[in-house]
Amino acid sequence: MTTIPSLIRSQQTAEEILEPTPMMKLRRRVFKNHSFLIGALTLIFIITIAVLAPFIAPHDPYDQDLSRRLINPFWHDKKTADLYVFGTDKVGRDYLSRVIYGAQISLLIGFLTVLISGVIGTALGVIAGYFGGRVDMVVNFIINTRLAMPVFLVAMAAVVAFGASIHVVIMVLGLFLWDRFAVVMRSITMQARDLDYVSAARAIGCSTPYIIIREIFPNVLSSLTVVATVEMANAILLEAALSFLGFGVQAPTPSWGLMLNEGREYMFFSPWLLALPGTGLFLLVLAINLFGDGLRDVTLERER
Amino acid sequence: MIVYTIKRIFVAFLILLVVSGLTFSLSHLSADPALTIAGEQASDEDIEAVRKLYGFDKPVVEQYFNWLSSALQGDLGKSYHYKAPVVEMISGRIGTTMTLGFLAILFALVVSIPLGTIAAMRPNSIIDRFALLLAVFGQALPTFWFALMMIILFGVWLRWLPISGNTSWAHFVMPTIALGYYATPALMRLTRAGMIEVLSSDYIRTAKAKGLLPVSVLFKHALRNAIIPVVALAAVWFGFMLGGSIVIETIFNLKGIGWLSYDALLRSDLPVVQAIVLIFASFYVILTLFADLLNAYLDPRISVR
Repeated sequence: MTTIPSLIRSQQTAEEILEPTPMMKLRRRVFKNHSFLIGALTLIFIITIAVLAPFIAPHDPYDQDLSRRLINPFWHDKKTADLYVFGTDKVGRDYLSRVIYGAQISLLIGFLTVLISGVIGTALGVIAGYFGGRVDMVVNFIINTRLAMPVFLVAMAAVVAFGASIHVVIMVLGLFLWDRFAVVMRSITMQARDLDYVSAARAIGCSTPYIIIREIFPNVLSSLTVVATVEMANAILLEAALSFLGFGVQAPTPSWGLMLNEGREYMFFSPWLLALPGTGLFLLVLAINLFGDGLRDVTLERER
Repeated sequence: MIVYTIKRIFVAFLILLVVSGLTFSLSHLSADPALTIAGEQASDEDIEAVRKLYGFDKPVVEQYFNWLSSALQGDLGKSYHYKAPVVEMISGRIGTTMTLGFLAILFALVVSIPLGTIAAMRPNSIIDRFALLLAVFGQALPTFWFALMMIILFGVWLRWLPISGNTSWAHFVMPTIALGYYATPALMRLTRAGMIEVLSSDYIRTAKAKGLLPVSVLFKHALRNAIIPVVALAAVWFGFMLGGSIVIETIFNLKGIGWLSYDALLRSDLPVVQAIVLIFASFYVILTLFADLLNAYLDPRISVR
């Protein structure tokens, strides 16, 4: 005979069986989060285009021919549409190919900059948050000093000092854009430091580097990714602006910012020379931001 | 509070010292400045004479302290290219940049505060979603590209606005929007978050229960409290905008100090660049100091930490 307490118990187990696993919950949140999905899909799309550029691009992006300069894109000129969909630039390079290869440059700069700045910022932030006290004070001072420097102006000055090239731009941006990493990592590490299992690790005699890498670091990983998307978008925009002013990537590299610079003198008669690379830039940054925002929502809910 | 203020001012000075030191060493790592001044065709003796005249033959540390001591006396050196005192070159142009920065932050506040407030009153409504969408799009729009697109649309196709120069108020319309919109997403989100928090607080419920007009509750009770951190953030953004003015002033040919720094960098005119970095950094430091003190005044717990 079933008693009432055993009925309740069996009901509980039934609920427990129906309880979705954490993985299922995460999957459900991911598919409910539209901005994450749109951002991620657009980002994957752009990355695919960038990686497969040599196969997708109809022409060589560096191939010049003055006899076919400034051909109009397909919406102006039906005749040339088959050969040059987006027309050609001032020295006759196929604009579609250049826009496609431009994604490579922006993504490359975004990834490498975030790699450098992420390492610097995370190291500083984790150290400051874990040790606190004087170490924290010194790191805080470094962060504030960095924030006081006008990034764009100092980056331009650095490019003048070391010469304009894609390497210099990546190095300069990487050495500048670590502040957000440091600030966020610092506060999260501070919270994680006092968690029970971190104290436990300390109690059983684990070394400090071991605790930081094995116990604290996994905790900050999701926030790290979110900050990385913000800084990547930032780096891409800064590179474009630097190249636009002539203090970044140099010709003939197909950087979207540089293409905007080259197209500027024809803006009155061929505005599409500006519209196309700018749209690429806008879509890429939008995708990264949506992806980052969505990721934050998805992972924050888990932590709640 | 006084101890906190003194401490913050001391740190602010220290920051400026380090920033100026870093900029100085950076600009002295670059190609030989004597060569820039003497020109491409100069003989070796000429270059040597220039080097002696400007003190480039001395150690960099000594040069830095010489520059610093005269900078503290209000002398930021002479432009290599224009041979004019840097202070004069900057003071003649800083008005344009300040006007632009001020108008831009005003534009950002005028757009973001009402939008953020309306969004907060009806979370998840159509207006809220629209505001959020606007913020997401605004954040992804490259400033300089937006400026160029505006020039094509309003300057060339519609011919509503002038596209270059700074002789009338109409010249400032597009630069203001181009520079200001970038701050709106951050300010709007902060207004929205602050308002949502304030609107759910007890004293708002009390005010509503007392039968006060909704308008009065919204403006006198809620907005007044939610807006202070927004003003603090706007102060910090004003500092960022001075940096952003480089691109905008160059595009619209507004000859403020942003344009001047671009021009100086093209000519490797180091004293001008150093001075402008120092000015931008000072502005940022002063504005964050103001924001910190404002927050500490409102929340005394901050100054104890």
